[in-house]
Amino acid sequence: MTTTFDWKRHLRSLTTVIGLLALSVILSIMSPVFLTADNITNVITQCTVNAIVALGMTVVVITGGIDLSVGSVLAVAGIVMAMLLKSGYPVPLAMFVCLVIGAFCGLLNGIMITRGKLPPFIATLGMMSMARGIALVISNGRAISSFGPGLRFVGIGQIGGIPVQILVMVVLYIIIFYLLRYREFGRYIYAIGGNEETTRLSGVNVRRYKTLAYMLCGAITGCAAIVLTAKLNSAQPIAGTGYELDAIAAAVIGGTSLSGGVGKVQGTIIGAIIMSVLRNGLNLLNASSYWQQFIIGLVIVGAVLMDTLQKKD
Amino acid sequence: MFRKSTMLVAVLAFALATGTAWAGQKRVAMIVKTENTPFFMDMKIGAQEAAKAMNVDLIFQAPEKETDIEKQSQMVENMVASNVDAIVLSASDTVAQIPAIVRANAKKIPVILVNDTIDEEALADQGGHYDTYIGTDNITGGRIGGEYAAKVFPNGGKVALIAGIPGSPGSIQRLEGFREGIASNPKLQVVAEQTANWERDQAFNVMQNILTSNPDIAVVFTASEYMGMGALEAIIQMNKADQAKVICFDAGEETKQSIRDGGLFAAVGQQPELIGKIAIESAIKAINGETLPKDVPVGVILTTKESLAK
Repeated sequence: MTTTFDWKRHLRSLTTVIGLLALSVILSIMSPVFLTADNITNVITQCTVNAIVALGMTVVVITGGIDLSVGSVLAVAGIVMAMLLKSGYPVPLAMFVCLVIGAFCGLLNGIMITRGKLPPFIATLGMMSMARGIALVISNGRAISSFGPGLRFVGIGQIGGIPVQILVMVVLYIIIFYLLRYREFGRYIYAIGGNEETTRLSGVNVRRYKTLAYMLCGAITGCAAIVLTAKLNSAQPIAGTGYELDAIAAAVIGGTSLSGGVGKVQGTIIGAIIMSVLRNGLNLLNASSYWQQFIIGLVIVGAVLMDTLQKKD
Repeated sequence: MFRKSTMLVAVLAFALATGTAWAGQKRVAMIVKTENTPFFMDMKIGAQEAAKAMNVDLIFQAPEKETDIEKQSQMVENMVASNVDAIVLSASDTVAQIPAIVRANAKKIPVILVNDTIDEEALADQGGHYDTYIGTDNITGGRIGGEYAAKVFPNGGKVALIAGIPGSPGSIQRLEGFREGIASNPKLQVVAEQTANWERDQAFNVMQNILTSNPDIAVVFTASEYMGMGALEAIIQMNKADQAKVICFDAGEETKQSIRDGGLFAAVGQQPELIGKIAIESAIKAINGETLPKDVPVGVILTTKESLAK
């Protein structure tokens, strides 16, 4: 009996992995360079920003919420960091401020949702527009480019042959995995997503943990801002446009349910890699850009369809 | 009470953000595709200077993204409703802005098109017209870039093209022009054409991927400068800066600096400030009842390290 139970429980993450493998096999047959070490490094480094944003998104979605402001928060955090660096502040301080801004935007989201009783969709939609506006105002609409080696190290540096941006991503995933699996924070946010009222009645401070989830998401988005700015050697007020949708897609492909209570960071990272593999493969094959859009949409729908069909059984 | 005070704050913020106009001045609305690219920012500067010199009240508006087609048509409609004296429009879509233009026509508000053309046939079908078009000929611009590549790379090599949002006329014409320009040198061969949706970060990824399948790319042409910078960053990080040269469309300050520093190879520079200036001057002429030429082509300037050194 136990084995059957385990099999069912792991089936969802297995299908995602199988999907990724199948995709990789097809692409390696169609393109001789797909499976080269260089290209695999490309695929992973190209997914880091989306994977990091999607990690924060997963936490919020597990509570039954959503955060549409991540792309704009990324832009405003990146711009402020870039301005601090340009004014000569030390790199660690600028990075820290970047995280604090992300967490602060998350805090505002959390307060609007838990105290103002706004639906997460509305609160974060407002934040999406406000943060974008602030990013444009303080940068006067212009990109801020060219930074010193300190920040650039995150974007192009390597430790033991592994790109720093990948290490950043992996460390963040391990931290969140631990928080969700072994800390009460994790247990409570799954419970809130599963049934908020019951969780509240059993004495959990729902407001506090929901706000913490949005703050965590914001801080993680701040990390993504550091990685993106370091990678492109440029912070732009319009950076991150549409990233919320990519992040939601990665989480959903990875098995996170938008109705809350269900989701794993292991799934999310596979989801982000699937999206990156798709875009990379279609570029390698020089596929028509019109078809690229169609195919990415098809994969998103297909992944969730597998999910719902399994549940029916 | 809460609702009332919120409204009050909103009204105050709105008044602050929009400012107020002088009575008696001519009011010209200029609506472009976005305010976030160096190109349109420079166009705004040119228009503002001309407006100041001619004592015109300039209302400059743009949606957040070039893809916000519907928002742009709402902006045009709002300006028509507020009875401005003329409208300068850089249309984000060749047909979607036609109904708004027809509304302006109905109120006899002159319409000056800048930078982006619209579908003439569809406009005529819906009974609309515009007064003049001021802008760069994208095909010629692309061709100038291509001809330069054909000349400076006599030994040829593999060429990659990076396009803007699929279907965007500016992007299609620029790439088409570039292909025409390099045709005189058959040793230059286009091996990849991919979109990066006008975005710097996407151009970075796309360039990495193109270089993976074609490691010996010699020339890259991008339909915008931000995509050029994204592609360049990828090339530098893959240690291919000596081998792959980037030519981009548009030449704002950041692009010029990069060319000076030996980053980007060359740029087909439009003259957005001049376009903005001519647009405001034409708007005033149209308000005064002068007849304008159907088409005012504004030249492009090939920007290279040599041209900048002069």
